[in-house]
Amino acid sequence: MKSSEVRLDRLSKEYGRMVAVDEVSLAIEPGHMVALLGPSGCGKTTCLRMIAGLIRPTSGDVFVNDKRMTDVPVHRRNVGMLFQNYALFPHLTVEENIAFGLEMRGISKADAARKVSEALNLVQLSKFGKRYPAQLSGGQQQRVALGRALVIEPAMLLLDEPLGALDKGLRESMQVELRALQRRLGLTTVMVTHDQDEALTMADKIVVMRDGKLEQVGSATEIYQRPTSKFVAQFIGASNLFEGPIEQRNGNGAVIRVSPELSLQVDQLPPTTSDVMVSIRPEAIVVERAGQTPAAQRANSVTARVDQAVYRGFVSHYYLKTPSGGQIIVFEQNQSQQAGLRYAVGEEVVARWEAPSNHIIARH
Amino acid sequence: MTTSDDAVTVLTVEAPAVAQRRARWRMALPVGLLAVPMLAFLTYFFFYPAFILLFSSIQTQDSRGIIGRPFTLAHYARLINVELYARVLWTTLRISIITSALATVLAYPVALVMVRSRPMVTRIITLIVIAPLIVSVVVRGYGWQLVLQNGPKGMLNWILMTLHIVDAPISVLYTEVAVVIGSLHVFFPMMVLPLASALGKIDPNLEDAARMLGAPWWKVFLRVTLPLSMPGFVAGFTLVFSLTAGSFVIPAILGGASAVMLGNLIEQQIFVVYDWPFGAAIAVVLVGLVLAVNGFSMWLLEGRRLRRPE
Ligand SMILES: Nc1ncnc2c1ncn2[C@@H]1O[C@H](COP(=O)(O)OP(=O)(O)OP(=O)(O)O)[C@@H](O)[C@H]1O
Ligand SMILES: [Mg+2]
Repeated sequence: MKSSEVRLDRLSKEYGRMVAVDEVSLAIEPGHMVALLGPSGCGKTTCLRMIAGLIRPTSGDVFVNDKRMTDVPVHRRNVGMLFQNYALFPHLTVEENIAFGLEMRGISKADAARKVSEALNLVQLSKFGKRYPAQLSGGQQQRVALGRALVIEPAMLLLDEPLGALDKGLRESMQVELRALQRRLGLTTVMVTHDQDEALTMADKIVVMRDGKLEQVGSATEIYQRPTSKFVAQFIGASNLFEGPIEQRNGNGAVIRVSPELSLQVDQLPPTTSDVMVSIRPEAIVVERAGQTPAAQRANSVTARVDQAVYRGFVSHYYLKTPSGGQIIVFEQNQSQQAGLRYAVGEEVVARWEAPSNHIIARH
Repeated sequence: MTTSDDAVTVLTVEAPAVAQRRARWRMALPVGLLAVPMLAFLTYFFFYPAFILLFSSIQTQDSRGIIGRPFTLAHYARLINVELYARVLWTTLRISIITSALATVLAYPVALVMVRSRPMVTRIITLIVIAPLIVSVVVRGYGWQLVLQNGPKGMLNWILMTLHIVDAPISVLYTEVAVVIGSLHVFFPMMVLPLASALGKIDPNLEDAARMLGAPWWKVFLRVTLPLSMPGFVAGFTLVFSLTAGSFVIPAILGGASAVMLGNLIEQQIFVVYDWPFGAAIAVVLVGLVLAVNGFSMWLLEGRRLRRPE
């Protein structure tokens, strides 16, 4: 299966005065899996359906291998799609469902039968060919849908929250399975999800959307470690956000004064001269008992009180309150031998972290 | 020892179920009582007369008009053997099937638009479809009589001649065509509504999925929409067939002498000829016909021969 390159050029969709997708431009490399991630109503589905051809864009174009697809009708596009509710034909058996696309292409009965059985093997459902969709579990149904989408050897695969209806365990194993298959086939894939874990696990590239616009595009690491906006910092994972004026510039960095008891040493040059916003991931922060740290008054360090403590198996979440009322979230990995929470509610602690953990974000 | 232990276990397991069943009964009892008057009414005023009808149809009427022994199947034989009567039976069947088939073809696009449009449009179309039900069948029958009138003064003929589509007036009134037109008008909602309900239950993603798999719109309709709307089609077809087969007013007003249907034949036998056993036999055949079609459609729907969308 040859991989296709997909390009969106200033794709927009308006419903009356409401702009669902606003000038989205994106290049997807052949064989890559891209995840459209964003809160409900940000235009992910609309975007995906425009790529599929199910919705006609108000303006802008979709290119596949530099061929303009905008005026090509859906049934000539050769695109595979998985729907959240599987959308299997309830009146057809599993085999007939998978054969549907082959039948539409006028492929001979014998060839179709061979391809159907190959597809059934691929999705590990060889024994279920004669069943009807209603006689399968959710996971099996989505596998049939995958087989049905792949058997036509599509130019690309579109997934609209394909695993949203499955329970957590099955969803995670399907994520791995789907990703492995997509890699093996080298199939250019666009996936819609509002589950950040799903996006982080599966995608080569994550596209964060907000209000119909692209907010940030990048690899999982880039998006997680270097969010460009407050929105992304808060939407992907949890973030401690601090804001304050520049107290001092030194070499390639600066000191930001957040509150009387907390200043931040950053390793980046602040883009502005006014207030700067800094994000620190909760797992980058180390908590120690008060009094154990000799230099408690240095930058990137603050004395605080444990406000809430939550034990969550392999991590513990601590919600700390600084004397001036600021909140700091800390995730601490639990040691296997450890009995439970290391710090009790009300205990005085020192939170500190390294300068590289401070990440300046453009304010929004 | 073991036995008594088992008994205890069984008791504790059974007890909640029994209590639940009792509670359900306590709820069901008043509801059941409320159903009694209507059931009694229907038994007396429907099943009892229906039985009398069935009974009369196999009895003999003497010269004084009194119905009694001996039992006979002669009336049924007469309906089938006398060509005049057999023709009425076939006319009824033909008109009912043609009306139902035409209603199906005409109703699909209407039902599709009704289901796929914006809520406002859906409401307007629903109104247009069911509004004629407010007007009595008799009034609509006479309305069609005016429209279809034979001779140059009939509205249809006048239009056709003014537009030079025909040179001489055509005869539509008092033919089977007129009865089909009238029945279509009267029973159309009975086709559209079940169809729309079935079409509305089809997940639009299924049609999108079919399109993405390479099906042009007409194949999407034939392979996905049509089969999944079968329950609605069967319900609508059965309704329109039953109502048309049993109709009396429309063939009386629009059919005249050349399109007599079973209903009109029954009226003739009961009120004009006073041959009640024969009238009863025709009625039994009519009811049997309708029941057979209903039974067949039930069999189609229940036997999972038509898969419903989940
Ligand atoms: N047919 C339509 N008519 C009018 N507005 C629409 C239509 N379809 C979508 N919208 C609007 O466009 C916006 C984007 O919708 P879309 O379905 O793409 O969101 P989404 O990101 O997929 O959300 P979710 O995560 O909830 O699925 C929403 O505000 C929605 O209300
Ligand atoms: Mg969506």
